[in-house]
Amino acid sequence: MTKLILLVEDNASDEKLALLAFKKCGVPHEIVVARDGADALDYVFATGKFAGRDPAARPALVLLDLKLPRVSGHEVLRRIRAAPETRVLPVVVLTASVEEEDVLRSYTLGANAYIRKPVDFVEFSNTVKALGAFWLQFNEAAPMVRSA
Amino acid sequence: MKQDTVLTAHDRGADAAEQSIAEVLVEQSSDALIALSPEGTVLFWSSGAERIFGYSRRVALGRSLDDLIVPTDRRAEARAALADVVHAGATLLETVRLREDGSRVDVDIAMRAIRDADGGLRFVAVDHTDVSALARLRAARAAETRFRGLLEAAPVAMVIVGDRGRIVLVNGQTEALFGYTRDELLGQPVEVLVPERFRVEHPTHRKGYFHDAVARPMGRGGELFGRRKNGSEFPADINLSPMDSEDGRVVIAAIRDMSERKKAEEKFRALLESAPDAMVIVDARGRIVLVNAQTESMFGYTRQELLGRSVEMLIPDRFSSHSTSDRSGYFSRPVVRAMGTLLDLWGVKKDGTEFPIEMSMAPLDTQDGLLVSSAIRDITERRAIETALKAANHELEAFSYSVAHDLRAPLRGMNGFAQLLLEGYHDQLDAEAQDWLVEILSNARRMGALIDALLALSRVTRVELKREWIDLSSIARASAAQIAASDLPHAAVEFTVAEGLCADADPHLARTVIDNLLGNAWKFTSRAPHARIEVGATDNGEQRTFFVRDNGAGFDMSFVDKLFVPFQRLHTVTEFPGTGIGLASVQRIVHRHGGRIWAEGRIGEGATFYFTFHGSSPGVEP
Repeated sequence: MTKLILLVEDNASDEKLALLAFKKCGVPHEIVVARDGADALDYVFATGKFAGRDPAARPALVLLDLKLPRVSGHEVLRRIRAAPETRVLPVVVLTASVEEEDVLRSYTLGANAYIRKPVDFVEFSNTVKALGAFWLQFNEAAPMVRSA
Repeated sequence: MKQDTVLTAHDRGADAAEQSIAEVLVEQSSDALIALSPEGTVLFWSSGAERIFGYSRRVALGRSLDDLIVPTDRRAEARAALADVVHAGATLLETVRLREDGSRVDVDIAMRAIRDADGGLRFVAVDHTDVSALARLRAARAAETRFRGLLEAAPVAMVIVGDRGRIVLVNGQTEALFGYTRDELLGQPVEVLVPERFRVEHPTHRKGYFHDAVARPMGRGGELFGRRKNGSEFPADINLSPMDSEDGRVVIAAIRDMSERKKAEEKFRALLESAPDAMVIVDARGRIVLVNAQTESMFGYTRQELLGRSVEMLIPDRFSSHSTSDRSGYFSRPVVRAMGTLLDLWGVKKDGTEFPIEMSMAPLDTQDGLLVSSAIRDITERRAIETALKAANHELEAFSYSVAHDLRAPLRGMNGFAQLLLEGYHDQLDAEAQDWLVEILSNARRMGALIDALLALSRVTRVELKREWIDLSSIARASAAQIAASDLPHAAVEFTVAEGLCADADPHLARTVIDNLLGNAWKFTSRAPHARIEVGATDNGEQRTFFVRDNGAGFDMSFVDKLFVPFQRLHTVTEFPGTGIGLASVQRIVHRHGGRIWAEGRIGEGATFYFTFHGSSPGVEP
């Protein structure tokens, strides 16, 4: 069964690299890209320009950058954790920041993992591969909560 | 042998002219010439006698001389003298007689029995010479001999004054101080030494003192002056002390010239006033003794409102009790405390406004006891600048962090796509094109390393410093183990760490220091045949200096000042890899601890880096 990955990334170059990395390591899942925090929330909750989407078809994994236009990554995370239906959705922070404050805040808000984007592409694709394998193959996901 | 004068018969026949000459001589004599009957009754009373004793001839004639002028305590002596004259014909006597007004007069007396031709005693001629002035001088000289040694040894001018206000004795210092010779002063009223404007009232004070004399400083608290022979005046400190002797009461005045002291005081005041800080001097009870103009303007009180009051009035209430105990502590162990060693101090103005201050304290050992002088600086402005500077620094750090952070994104693109090109189009690229792509990749990687180093450097400045006692020896061993396990190129290293290297420092930052210094040592010994790296410490009395020493590539001492500058390297990247950030970070960490770092080296012979975690600031108490 193909699963859905939501990549929240505003940098076009990084987006392309991430997609290439997924492709290169043969991740079989569908990847949806949201280019800012507001789009990401609309997608997750099937609101706004994603209003027509089936709200039950949620991504199995969210890869979230922190520095985002409109709504910041931390705010996206906070709202995902605040909604009962997405409270247990796996969210992995994938960012360039290694600021202690950013790491701590992310975990406090309920991030499942925090990964720093490596500069080296080989390293980056290895990371992406490991990520996909861990969250979508080895990890037993929490049962999906159906919204009323 | 009888010395009687005998009047012979032919004398009586002497001519009248001779008689009148004798009368004139008798009347003109300054001595008191008196003729007495053998019973002691006055038969003749010269004008001189009138002058010396005050009695007129009319009053004196026919009276007993004893009743007139002989003090009761000298009657026996007088009777003995008279008897002596009657018996021996003449006698000399040095004694005291009374004037009509009751005052005493010193006299030399010559007595002679006058007899007639048949040897009968006709009368006794008595010649009194007033020797009061002489007696005074003589008394003075006697006293002088007695006290001379004592007086001359005194470091101050000593003037001894008799009960009539006459100077009876002075010492050499008096001559030097007032410009008079001894002889010019003896017998003179003491008022010659007093400025004219005080002369009129001086005798009254003097008589009052003689009446109720106790040893005390003269003119309590008042300003006293002496007057020199040339009319000039000087500020004086005068102590009075009565002394009763057989010659009556005298008063000893010790006079000190205060000109120098006054000048010194004026200098001290000028210094105090010119100080840029508010100067407050307090006594052991915390009362304000002296302030300068800066104190008035800083605290808004006038001098009069401050003097004699408790220094607590300048300190906010919430600190008062603390300050009291602090002060008594200070008085029990007074040492100089430099500015900045007393932290978080506040002052309060008259209007209640509180303001941050910096203060230094110094003990003043004065004749009024131990005083403490405090220099107080209003640091409101500096605090504001410091806060602004901190904010600006913070902003700058945040900016550089964000810049470093944002630089990574394009770098990832460059690196990623070059990598993809190299992998995906391997077959279509010739060797040179591939080499160039490798160049792009290695440059991107190096830039990534530089950005990481820059971020690390900025983090070193931003993190909060948390000091604790740490074991630098075990930190060094852990760091060395990690380096040895890493893929840094290195040969076998002989690594030694001194035991028990303790330091009061932030453990994480100290680890960064050690990591960098050991990392460098490993790196620069990578080509040494017998690499040796040593971590140790030297103690020079008060402070401990740590060092990391290696026998590696070393460096040229003429470039030593470039070692700690960010991005400055003394080797090319191909010789030894590196970013040029490590030592800059180390220096920042050491400086943040208040310590110092320096290096010694020689090309090909190795390098030693010395560092401390504490500055040496004298006067700072632990």
